[in-house]
Amino acid sequence: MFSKRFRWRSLVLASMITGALVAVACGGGADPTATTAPVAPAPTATAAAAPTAMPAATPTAAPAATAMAATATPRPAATATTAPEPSGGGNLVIGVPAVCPPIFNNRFLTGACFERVQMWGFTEGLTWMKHAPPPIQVDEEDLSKSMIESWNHDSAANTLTWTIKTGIPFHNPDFGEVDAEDVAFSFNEAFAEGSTFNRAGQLRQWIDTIEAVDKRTVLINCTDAGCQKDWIRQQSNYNGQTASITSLDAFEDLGEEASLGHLENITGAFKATRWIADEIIESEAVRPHWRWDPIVDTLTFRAIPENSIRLAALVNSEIHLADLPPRFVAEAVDKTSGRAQQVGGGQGQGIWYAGNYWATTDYLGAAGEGNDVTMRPGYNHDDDHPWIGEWGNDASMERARKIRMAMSMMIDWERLSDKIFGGLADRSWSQYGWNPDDAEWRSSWEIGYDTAMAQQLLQEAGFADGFSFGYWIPPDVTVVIDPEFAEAIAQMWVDGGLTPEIEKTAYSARRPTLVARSMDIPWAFSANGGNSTPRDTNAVGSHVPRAGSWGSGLELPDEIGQLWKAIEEEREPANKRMINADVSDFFNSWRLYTPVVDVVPFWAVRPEVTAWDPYTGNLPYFSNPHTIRLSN
Amino acid sequence: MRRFIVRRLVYGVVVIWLVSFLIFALSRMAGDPRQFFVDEYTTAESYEAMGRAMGLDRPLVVQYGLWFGNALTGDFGRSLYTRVSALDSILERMPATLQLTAGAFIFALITGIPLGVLSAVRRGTFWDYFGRTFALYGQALPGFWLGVMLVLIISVQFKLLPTSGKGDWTHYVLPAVTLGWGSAAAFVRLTRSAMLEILDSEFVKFARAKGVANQKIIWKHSFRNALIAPLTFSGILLAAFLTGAVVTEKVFAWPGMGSLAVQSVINNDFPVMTGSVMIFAGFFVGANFVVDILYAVIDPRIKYE
Repeated sequence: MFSKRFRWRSLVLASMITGALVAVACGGGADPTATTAPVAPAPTATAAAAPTAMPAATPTAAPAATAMAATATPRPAATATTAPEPSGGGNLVIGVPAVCPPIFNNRFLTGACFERVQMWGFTEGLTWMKHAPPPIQVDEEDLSKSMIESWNHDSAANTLTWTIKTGIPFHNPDFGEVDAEDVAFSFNEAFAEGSTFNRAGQLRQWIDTIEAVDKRTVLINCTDAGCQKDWIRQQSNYNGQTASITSLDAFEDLGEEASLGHLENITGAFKATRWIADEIIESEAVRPHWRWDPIVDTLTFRAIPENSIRLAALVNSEIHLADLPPRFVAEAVDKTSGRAQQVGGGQGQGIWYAGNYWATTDYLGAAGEGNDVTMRPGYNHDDDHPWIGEWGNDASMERARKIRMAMSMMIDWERLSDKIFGGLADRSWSQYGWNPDDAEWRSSWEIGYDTAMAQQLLQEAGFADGFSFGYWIPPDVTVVIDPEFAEAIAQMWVDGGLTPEIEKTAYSARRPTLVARSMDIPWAFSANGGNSTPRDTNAVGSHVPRAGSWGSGLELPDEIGQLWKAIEEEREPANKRMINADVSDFFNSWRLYTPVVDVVPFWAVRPEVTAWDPYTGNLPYFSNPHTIRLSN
Repeated sequence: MRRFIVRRLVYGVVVIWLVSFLIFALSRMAGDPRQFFVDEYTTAESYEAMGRAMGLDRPLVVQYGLWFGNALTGDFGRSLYTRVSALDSILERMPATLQLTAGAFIFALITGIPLGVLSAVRRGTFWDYFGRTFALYGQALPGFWLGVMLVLIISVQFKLLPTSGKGDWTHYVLPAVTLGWGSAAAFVRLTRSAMLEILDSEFVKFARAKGVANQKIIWKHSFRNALIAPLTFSGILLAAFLTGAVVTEKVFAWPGMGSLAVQSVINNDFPVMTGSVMIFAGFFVGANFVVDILYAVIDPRIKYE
């Protein structure tokens, strides 16, 4: 048997080996800031070791004349690209956390898959708008890229007609070209019984019936509320969850089930050849394409759920682009000598103070049987829930307001931006994007970081020693809320003398309490935000008493909540904006939501990608793959 | 023996039925799947219509009866997320998980058992300490951490293997090692302790006294008798690999059943969620059953009647 000394030596040796391995894994302990040379692996070596490594770009196909010039505007210093202008082609590989299922029927589409499938270049909506700061205006270029050639709004007849362009083929030639019947079919599927199309309710507010009059004309009979004036934006790449146009012939020839996942039932600039949910999409460029010709030859999306592995794949040259959280993006840029690319508008992240259900009447007529709006299960305005005020009770309301104000003032957005988002987050000024640049901005809406004032307010509210409370952080919807960011806020509250008890239930499991209005604790989430959010978007929608609908944990008092209808019925965007400003004033005066940061989504881009002009509207998603150019 | 087999089969069926009840109850307690789809524009009418389309408008008992009846025929319904048959989704992912499981199992066997035997036979030597250190590290290192470390070292630093995904044999190495690592360590411990016990037994001493060759004592007389514990572990391990490869599959973006099951929970996708768990339960019950039968085959002293 070995001596005790030998055993110790073995232990020390094993520890040293482990330490060395960890050091190697972590970059050998070198100062990352001292790294000047990029880690650019030789493509040949990588290809030999990893057969699925991205193929080198092939300089064969000439770029299409319609390809857009790249106008990448990354926040971090972008590395200058000195590569000669390539002629196009190549095989583009993109790493994403998840891949949506191939569903090409609006009736069965779910959640964020609406916009992803469309913005990734596979399906297409009715209209297209180039990005511009709000208010969005339609111009000629928008029309040239839309499926609609012209439209006519007949206010006397309360109808809207769309004239559909010719020459828009489905990927499967058997299905012919997009015509009016396809468009009407696509919308009617969204309205079908049992449809999970999230925006069906929104469309139904103004579309009574939609039908094909002939091969090129779609007739919409509008509801009594009148035809939606900004339908172009609603049905464009600007908006989320736009109806995709699919083939009626496919549905009739193949049947519902087979046409649903038929990869050629769509019209996008990339034609999918293999598509497995949460695994991979392989596709090839459609040339010529009616809207624009892609520059690369093939496009592949690989689902890589883990952030660190996605980063490793990028560094290892297995993928060209990676969807990464902000703090990973800086590391990726450093290690690949690549760049960060903004892909969408800012996403506001902050705190909702749930439980303030102040609606008393069913003014929308949609509360449903047994769904008394005055008896919301989460309306617990007691000492255990001091952030919840009792509407009509001035003392209770004032106490709750002071508590919410104090909690807001304990949050230091600058520190959060630096530490959590690598400095890539902006200050969020208000829910729904209002900021000091807006003409309607009111100085009283600005609430800063002020711990002394927070303590004073706590004292005035009768909670000088603080209080404990539940605090929900959704851990699994990271595109909307960063859990680490939300945890850091909890620590700031602890520093301010409060005792948050963090709950990290999965969003899908907790969401029913929002629908049922039983949610009664502060929670971290988005409230849109970002400068790209149109100020005329209905800001009341999530805070009204509607049976079976999602809510933020708040129900506005009747006189404010009823503005929901006013905004929906108002046709003029400028007037909608004015009403929204009043709503925002109410929100900010009572501090029902603490706006903290606007997180601008950035993607990490390898240096081989020499051009990319993503659409930087209000959606935080990858877009415009047809504009991506690879170096030779 | 036959009575034993029949009894175990009946137990298995009862367990599956209880599991089905639990799965159904728990999945319904997780919330109404419609609430995954609604937003601020959903109306009460469309909410009800969604319920009818999903079969949620009937009493729970009826829903359970229909679901269980269909499940017995392999019909778990259509995925609410992908809109294809839940069973097809699961079966589509099964080969990837089976391949990963096979790789991990082979790694665990060829690493753990020889090292366990070596550690026992060379007790107190360098090999013994090496084996025990390996076992200690193997069981202490979480799979998630190990997987990421292997990627950073093997793939990123040395560029020897791909980081993730499923492809040719090079894609199997890191996930298989990660998944099999902890089990290899367990095999080392189990084999070592079983071998030590056997090597200390009277019949081995007698064989040595008779002058039987050392190799024969180790591999013929001791090793076979020492296999009972690792064999028991193997059966459970196989089922655990199939059902527990979730972390490894997620780290390496491996398109298997584990990641499908997790995704179905996130998506509140009842059909896939319940189907996955039913099939996982079937694996466990089946593996236990096979191991029980194999006991008697391996060790003639074990008779069930």
